[in-house]
Amino acid sequence: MKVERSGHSIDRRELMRRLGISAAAASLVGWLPSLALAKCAIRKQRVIWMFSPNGVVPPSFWPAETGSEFKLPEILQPLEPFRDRLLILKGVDNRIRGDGDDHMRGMSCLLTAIELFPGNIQGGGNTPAGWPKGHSIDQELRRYLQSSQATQTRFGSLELGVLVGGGADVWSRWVYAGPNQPIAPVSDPRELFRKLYGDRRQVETLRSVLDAVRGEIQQLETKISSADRRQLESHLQAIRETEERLQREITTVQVTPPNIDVDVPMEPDHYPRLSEVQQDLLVSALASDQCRLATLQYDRSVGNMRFKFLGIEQGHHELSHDPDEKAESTEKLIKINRWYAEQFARLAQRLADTPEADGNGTLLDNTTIIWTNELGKGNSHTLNDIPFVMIGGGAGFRMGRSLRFEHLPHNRLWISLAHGLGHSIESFGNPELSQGGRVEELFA
Amino acid sequence: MALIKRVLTWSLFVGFVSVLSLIPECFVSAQEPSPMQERGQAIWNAQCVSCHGERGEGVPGKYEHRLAGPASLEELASLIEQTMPEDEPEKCVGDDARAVAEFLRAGILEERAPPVQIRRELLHLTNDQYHRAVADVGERFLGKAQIGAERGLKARYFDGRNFDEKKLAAEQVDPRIDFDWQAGGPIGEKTGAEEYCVEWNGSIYIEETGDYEWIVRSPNGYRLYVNRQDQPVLDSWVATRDEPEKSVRQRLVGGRWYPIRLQALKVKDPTFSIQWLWRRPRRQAELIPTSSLAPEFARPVLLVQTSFPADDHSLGYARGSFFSTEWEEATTQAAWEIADLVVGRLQKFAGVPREAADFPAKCQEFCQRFAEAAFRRPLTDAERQRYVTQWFGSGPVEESVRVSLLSTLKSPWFLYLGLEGGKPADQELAEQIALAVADTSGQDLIRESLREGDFTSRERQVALARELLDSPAGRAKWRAFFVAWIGLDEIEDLRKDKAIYGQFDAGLVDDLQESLLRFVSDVWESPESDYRRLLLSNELWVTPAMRELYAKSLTDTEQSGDPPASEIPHAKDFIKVSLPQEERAGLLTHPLLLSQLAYFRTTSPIHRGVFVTRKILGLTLKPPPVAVEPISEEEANELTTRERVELQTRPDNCMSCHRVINPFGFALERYDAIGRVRGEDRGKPVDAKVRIELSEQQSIELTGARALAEHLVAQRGTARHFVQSVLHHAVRQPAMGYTPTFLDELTDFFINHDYNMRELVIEIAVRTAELSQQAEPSAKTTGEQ
Repeated sequence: MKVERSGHSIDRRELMRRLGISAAAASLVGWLPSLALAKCAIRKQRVIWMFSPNGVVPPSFWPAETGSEFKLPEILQPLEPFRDRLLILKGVDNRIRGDGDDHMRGMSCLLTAIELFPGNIQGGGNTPAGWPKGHSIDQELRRYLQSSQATQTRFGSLELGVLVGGGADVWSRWVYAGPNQPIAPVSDPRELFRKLYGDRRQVETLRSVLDAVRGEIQQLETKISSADRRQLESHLQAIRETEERLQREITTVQVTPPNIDVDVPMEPDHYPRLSEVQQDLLVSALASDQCRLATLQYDRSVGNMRFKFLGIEQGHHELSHDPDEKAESTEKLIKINRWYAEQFARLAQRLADTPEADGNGTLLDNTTIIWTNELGKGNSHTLNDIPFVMIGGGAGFRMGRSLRFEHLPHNRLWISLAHGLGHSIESFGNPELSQGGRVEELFA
Repeated sequence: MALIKRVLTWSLFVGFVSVLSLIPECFVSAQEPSPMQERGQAIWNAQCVSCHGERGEGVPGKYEHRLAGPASLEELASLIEQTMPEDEPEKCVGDDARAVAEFLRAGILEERAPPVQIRRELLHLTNDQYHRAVADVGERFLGKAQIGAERGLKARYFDGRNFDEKKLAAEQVDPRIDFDWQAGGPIGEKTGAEEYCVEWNGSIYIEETGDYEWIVRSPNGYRLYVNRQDQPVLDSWVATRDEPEKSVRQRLVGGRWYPIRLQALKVKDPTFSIQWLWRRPRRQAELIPTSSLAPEFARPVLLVQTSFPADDHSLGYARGSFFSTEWEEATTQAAWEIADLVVGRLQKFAGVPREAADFPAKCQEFCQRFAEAAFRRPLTDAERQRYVTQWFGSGPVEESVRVSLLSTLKSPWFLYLGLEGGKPADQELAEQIALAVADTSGQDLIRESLREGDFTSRERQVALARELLDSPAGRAKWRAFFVAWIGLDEIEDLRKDKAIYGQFDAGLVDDLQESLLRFVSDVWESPESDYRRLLLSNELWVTPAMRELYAKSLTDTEQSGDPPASEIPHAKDFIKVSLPQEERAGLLTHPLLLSQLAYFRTTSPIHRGVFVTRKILGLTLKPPPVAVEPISEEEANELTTRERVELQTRPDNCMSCHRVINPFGFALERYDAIGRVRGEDRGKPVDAKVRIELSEQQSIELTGARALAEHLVAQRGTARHFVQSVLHHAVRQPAMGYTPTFLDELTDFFINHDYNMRELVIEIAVRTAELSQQAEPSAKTTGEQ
């Protein structure tokens, strides 16, 4: 059945079985980080992809210089503290053509690097399209990491959103488990919290309930015939067995849920706070090794978010279509994109502030965060010069540089990323555009 | 010669008798053993102990199972006479057999019968009962909408793509979803051909509990909602050209209407077409028939998709007597599922928005009402504390509600059947009746009824039972009874050799199932509800395809009337025909049953015989004592099926059972492997004449199905077995768990009321409720001190 999945998979159950925990208990047990600590000899490698919509303002975005000496333009200035861990890539294009308009392909071919199916959804131009024909790079890497005990985690990957909203379509989804299989991001911090830490509370809850049920059954013993007590005893025995199993799990689970107030209204005025909470939950998930890959999607393609808290009344998409000459709009777009850069910087900072569980450095040392966009520029809808800005040390790239390429298909960027994580694929997405494989310059 | 042999045997053991009678522990009953029992014991020790052990405990290598069972004296004597001793059954017949039977009944069997078989046990809800109970609780809060008599779905056609009310182009009732509009619009000039969207709303009727598959065939965008209105079961709003058909499975509880909505969109597509099909349990996919659809919205039903371990079937019927760890865990999973569903819409259940100041208090109130609905009685103060109040405190309200619901749904007061306490006696009586008749809590009816007065009078009880029997839940429960009794739930992929039976395909099998169910329904719902008609009727529901095969002899003038007015959902044109008496006689000659009880190419008199023996007469049959090699093809080719089976089962140790089984099967030999009438088998005329042994001295001769059916109907054993099966399905307890004579009393009632099945169910419901009220279950046990 081809509908959305939340990303939970059979893999986890398989994992539980291998570790000797029964499938039934698996649903009640939170992940066991104590086991994760045990496999910590090799360094963990992580990747986070962050998305913001509607393109950027190129003159205020791209450094004029290449190499390790470069000035950060206005939009990227918030990234200054991370200069020597920064990698800026200009000249990487989304070369996927075919069905769907620029926004649709910009969004849904960004991580998948493959064409969309012909379909019934019509964008602003071109031909109508369906979903992409393949899976996204994060899911490719997820499969790779989950296939080995050394790199397995409870979830493998997490798909997060910040006010993504609306229904499922090629503008609101960028992560795909396979052809026609979009994965919905979780935008609600409450839901995310429950997903990460709910199980643990479930265990506590269940113990109290079982206790109560047992009390109830014991009370019945006096009212029931002696022969029927045998049935009660069976029931009590079954309960006892469940409780013993829960007891074993509780003593090994060491994850303390973080103290984050997740009760934030899901509204545009609370966009900044939602961004913070989602990021903090993400960092806590990485710190407790519940996953090593994540996507963080702000808004959606063609998103018309209102940045009232920045003093901007018009919606983002509206603004992005104003001509370059309209300075007023350009200024606002710069403000908006700079705000996104600040979010990017904040995430980097949280990772830098969080030590690894085994004491070897910080999370940022082992994590590469990638900030990207659906378009190169909003009003022209160009799919050239797609923004790619990276921070951190997770992928084995040489950081602290501004690089320039000549119409490099972004397929090869994803191939390089995979190689950085030890996954030596020769092609990703459209095979023709993959020709040439990994880009050595990223590593050298 | 046999007589002398018997005299010798007898005199040889006279001595033993006098010795053995002095051993007191042979007898459990305090009274003096009768001469018959003594005689029986003597024979037992001489002829039986070597295989069965002194106390019937079994002997490894011989008969390994402990002797046990609730057989009546007659049944036991008959069984012994016909089958024991195994190598020479004629060695113990007539009075000897009876003597042994009496000895066993008074001694070993009474003492040894495991308690489970002759007393009523504490049970939990069977899986089906669990799902119904949850749906019933949900109904208290989600409500119950009225579905009228109109059929089809309410269709609303809009211009544009946004279901904009201002662009509503037309509204009508469509009989089913099967449209192919090519490039033009659905209602001609009423909508623009370029872009339009359609929404079909209404409800679908589900007859039987099980897994249903929804299939939509369309190249356009669509979304299908069944039961849940917040989440589509099929979301293909973004259509992709390469997938013209999508499907999904969903478990649904029978006897209910479920709300549905199907939305479809045409934007930029060159064509528009859509079909909505379903696959019911054991059937082929087909377009959803109009008779299953209604234009009004039903209320959503509270349902879980959690799988439960299979019910205990050790006594031959489903009962919740096994309290296993898997079952315990399944109750937890299901409870979580329900809690999540409820909390997901908590505002609706609490009745106030989340921001309201009294939201927590309203949630607590809701939890209390939920527990009261689940336990079907008010909570005591202590219980309110345990199930509601203690869980509310510092944490988020949603979590408190979750825990409260969890504790309620795992409580024995919800999970166990028939726990007494906390309710006025007559309400309890009413509930037991509701459970027996329809597996439902029956709360609505009971509350309404209670307003008119209490349930102490029998008339009120009977009236309640009758009303419940006619309700959708009642219909669903007894439909399930027939499905299980006839074995329809075991039809898997019924296939025959296409070279011989070309027209027998999956579609025909569907028709046959429907035909059989209609027949049974017909008889069940008729005013007389006469069981005998099930075996004797010469009527058959046929489709054109079936007519070809099974009713060829009929001319047009012999057909009868219209389909009955009841809610039988099927769109094909079934008509009822009356066949010549010699051709059809009820169930035993229904093509589906005959096909099911046959091989790929040939008939199987043994399977047919076993069906009659077990399902109609209710006799116990052990499995074959030795593995049997079938006769080779070449040898067999010359023989008719009957001849071959006779040859195969000739050895004595086969005959002990086959002397009973075979005649029934042979009498049905006039029907081939797909149930068609035939005169010949392998070029020789079919011999359907059989001799049936009634006892040592008596036997009768009969020929063919109708004579067989008439014979069966005349046996008290037939009625008794049917009554027992109905009792088991109604209350899931053994008859002997009530009173030792209960089954016989009910059988008398059944026979005296002209075998009226519905009256039987009502009588069983009322009497078992009465008996449960009278004393504690333990007082009803026999054989336990």
